[in-house]
Amino acid sequence: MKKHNNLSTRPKQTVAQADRNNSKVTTTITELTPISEPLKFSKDLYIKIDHATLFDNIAVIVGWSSEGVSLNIPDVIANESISRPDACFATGKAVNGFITVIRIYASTPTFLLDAEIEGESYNFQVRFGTTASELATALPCYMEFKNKLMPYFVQSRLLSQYLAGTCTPVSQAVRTTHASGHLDIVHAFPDYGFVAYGWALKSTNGSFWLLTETNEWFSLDDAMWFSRPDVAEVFADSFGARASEAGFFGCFKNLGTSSSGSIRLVSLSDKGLFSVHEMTSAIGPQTPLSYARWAFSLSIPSSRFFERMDLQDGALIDNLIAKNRANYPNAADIWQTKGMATRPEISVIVPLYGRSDFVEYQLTKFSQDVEFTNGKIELIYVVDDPLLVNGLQQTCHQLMELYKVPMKFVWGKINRGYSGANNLGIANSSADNIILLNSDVFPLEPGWAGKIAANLNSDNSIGAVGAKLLYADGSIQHLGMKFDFAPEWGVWLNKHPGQGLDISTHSSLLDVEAATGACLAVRRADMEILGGMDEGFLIGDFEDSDLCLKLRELRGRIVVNAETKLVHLERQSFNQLGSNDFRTNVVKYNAWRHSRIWAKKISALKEKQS
Amino acid sequence: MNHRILIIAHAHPDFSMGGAEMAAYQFYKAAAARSDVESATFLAAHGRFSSGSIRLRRENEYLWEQNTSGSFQFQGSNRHATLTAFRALIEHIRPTIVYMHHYIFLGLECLRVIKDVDPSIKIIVTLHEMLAICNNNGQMVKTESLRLCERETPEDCHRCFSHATPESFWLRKQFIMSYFDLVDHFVTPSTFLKDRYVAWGIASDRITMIENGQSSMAPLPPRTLLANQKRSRFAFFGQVNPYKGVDILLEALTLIQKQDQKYVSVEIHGANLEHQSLEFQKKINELREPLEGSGLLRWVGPYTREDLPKRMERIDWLLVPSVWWENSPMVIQEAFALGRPVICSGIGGMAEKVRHGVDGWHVQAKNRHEWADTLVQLGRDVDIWDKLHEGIQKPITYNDCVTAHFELC
Repeated sequence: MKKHNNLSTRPKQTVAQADRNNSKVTTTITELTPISEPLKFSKDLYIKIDHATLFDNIAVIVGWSSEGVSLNIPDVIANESISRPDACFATGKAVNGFITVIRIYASTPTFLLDAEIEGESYNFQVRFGTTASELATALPCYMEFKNKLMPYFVQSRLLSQYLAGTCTPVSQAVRTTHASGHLDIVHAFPDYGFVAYGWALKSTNGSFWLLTETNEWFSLDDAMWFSRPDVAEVFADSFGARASEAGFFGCFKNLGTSSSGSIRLVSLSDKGLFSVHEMTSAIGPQTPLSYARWAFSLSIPSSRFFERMDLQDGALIDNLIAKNRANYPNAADIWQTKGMATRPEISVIVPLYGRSDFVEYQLTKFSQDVEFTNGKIELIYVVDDPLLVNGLQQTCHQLMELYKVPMKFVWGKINRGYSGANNLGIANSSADNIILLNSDVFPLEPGWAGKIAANLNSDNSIGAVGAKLLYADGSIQHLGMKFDFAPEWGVWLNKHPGQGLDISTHSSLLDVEAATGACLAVRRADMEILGGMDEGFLIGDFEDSDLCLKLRELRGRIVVNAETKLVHLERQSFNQLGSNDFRTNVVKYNAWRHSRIWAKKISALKEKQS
Repeated sequence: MNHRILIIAHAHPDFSMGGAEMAAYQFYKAAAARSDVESATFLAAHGRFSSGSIRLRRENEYLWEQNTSGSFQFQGSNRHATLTAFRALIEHIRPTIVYMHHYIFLGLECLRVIKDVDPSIKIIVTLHEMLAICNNNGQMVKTESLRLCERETPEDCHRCFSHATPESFWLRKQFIMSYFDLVDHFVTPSTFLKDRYVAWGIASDRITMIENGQSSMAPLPPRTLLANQKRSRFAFFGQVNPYKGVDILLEALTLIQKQDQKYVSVEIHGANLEHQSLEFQKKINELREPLEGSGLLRWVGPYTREDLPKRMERIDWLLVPSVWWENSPMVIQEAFALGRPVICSGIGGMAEKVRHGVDGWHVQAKNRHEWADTLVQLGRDVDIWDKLHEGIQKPITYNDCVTAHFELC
């Protein structure tokens, strides 16, 4: 967000210009200098330019003309009519006052203005005769119009600077009756922008702005506003109903942002420009996860999460993820036990995060499965947690000694998240078939890996094969995933049909919309074509359905082998819609991102089905 | 075929006198004396250390400084020692059969190492208790309420141990089961235990019930009665803790009417009260004082195994009022070996070993009133003791027990 640069293209030719070309009579060009007397025509018709100031890429014109004078100013960006009782009094007639912002394309000392008076066209050359400081001194008189023109004013670096200079600290009187506010948190994201959270209150029409140390203005109209009960309680007496929507959260794109700097909260109204609060921004959390932990904990209505992602910090999270990824070390630490397969048919990739004891539980199962000991399978644990590295380096040989299951460990030297870990594992594996496996998934019988790999290779139209996963109590955890539109969120979610139920199926190979990545067989060749799993999701969520949707496009079918049963020790959890906890918000973020990519394709898939 | 056998126990009786280690050691001694045994070796976990070293206690008897890291799933604290020192011992002895009387303090990994050294080595595991099934010290009693527990499921276990998730209990069971898969055959000293393990998931044909053997000591003569004396002397032998029901017994004594008190005299040959919670100690001591005053109770105190015949000589009945199942209490077998009928709670291993109306009497567990009535009834009735005494069968000997084990493979 959101510098006002949407006017960078040259506006189409104005009506004034067209008229000028077609007019029958053209009067000689007259030079108009601001501050001079009004230019008088017959019948007491006047034109007056009070100020004409050229800034870098815009110019501001202030003036008035008598009723009956049709004034055409070229390249107008914004125009505000203002009442001019002074001029009415002086001329004894009705006048039209104006403040106009025009676009300047090339450096020039003057601009052309034309007018039509009593059927005759006049051309005037107006000199930019008002200095910026003169204009800045004069502008407060027209403060009521600044509100509308500010977005255009702040496009000019110089005008921004002058406006910043006119900004005065708020007095106690103003604070209690007129404008109040507070920046609770301002986090800077170097080379991206900043995020501000706080509250602001005003008693009349007007606007709030954030002003940076480098005189850049950001309108809080672009932030999202919501109720802050804590603020409402204190200020209801002085600010009335306005106190109820005082909270704001905004993410502002500002490439020049450095690690820290002063940020002012500025109130703009007919009373003037007041600096309501000022604080020095701190550098914000720089990893996607730490950012999410912080940002998702802010008190912002959960019902507006998706609006927030669309308009505020969704793009920042994307940016942090991309930056984070760019910092991954190229090399990985790799160690392995003796006896690793040399020409495996299947690579089983298991990311480890948080706890490593699952390794041994898995090994008790794998040790009873000859495919894991006879060279058919290479078992690869991707250590994705620095806290686990040392322990696993120490115990892996002992585990091999005890369970006789050869295995390889890959540590990418930084936490990469679910997709990143899987991609690293794939890059360090060798078999044509890949099985992605979660560390909390435990087979109930041997031979499962070979079976789902065989399913995969039995049909070129199959892109991925999942398994039937059970909870510890034997009920269904996963028998394929189904996309389900959540109207209350406006996004597609992945549902596990039959979850928690005791279901047996007639057919052994089920066609499904998608399958969980907790246990999923895919082809190495396909993963290479797709560039691996998408690493743009937070933690571990939706990557699997994203992958399945891609594999669907590539090959057509996703299936689940309902006879291959493993236990997945995921706790059954239902995300509460109103809940604002971190995990729910991560799901929401990922759902938002997933829907942004796939909503259309999923809708098409659903239509095809019906 | 001559056997080279290794007996493994969780403790050596030189240092610990629990029933299971005694049974294991007696098994070893009995086996070593047999002509069909080429060699017998005894290995016991020792001490709180887990240096991992294996040391000689005396000829053919080793102590292993091993431990298990918590009882949750019985992993050896010093796994390296299991893979090296323990392995070296197995390679040295080359047993044909390993009789493992426990895995706590030893680690389940032993099973895997034995089979790795030589898959043809037979492993017989004796399940003396329900540790694998129940995380509450194998008691199958609810942690807070001490209510009797009928079944293990991840959800039920989580309710007893709220800090451990149901999933962790599922994993615990899977882990133990994966090791139990390596065992050739299981032995339980009671059908009650066997039934519990079958319900837990071990195939019935993989478990054989063989009672613990007893020394072939001669039965004691009945206590000599003076004129007008009745069979009114009852005694409890064992630990005084909340599971053993001594508190229930004392409460029952307080319920006995004054006119009936002459039929009942209870002796407590109990140990380790001082290791129980202060609350429990207070409860016992407050019950005990007035009862001793009235002559209903004699607090005799701890005994050693050698004291047992002398002490049983002076009593008529053994009392086993436990409020938990009891797996196969050694003291019941000892009482029978010495010719004393047993009155016990009618549950679990007790109800199985004591036959109601044949060689003893069942009382509903935790029912103070029934205990009071039963003590009065049996203390007053002069004939019933003789009948039950008559019904006692001699328990199997140590050697019988070894023979039964050898028949398994």
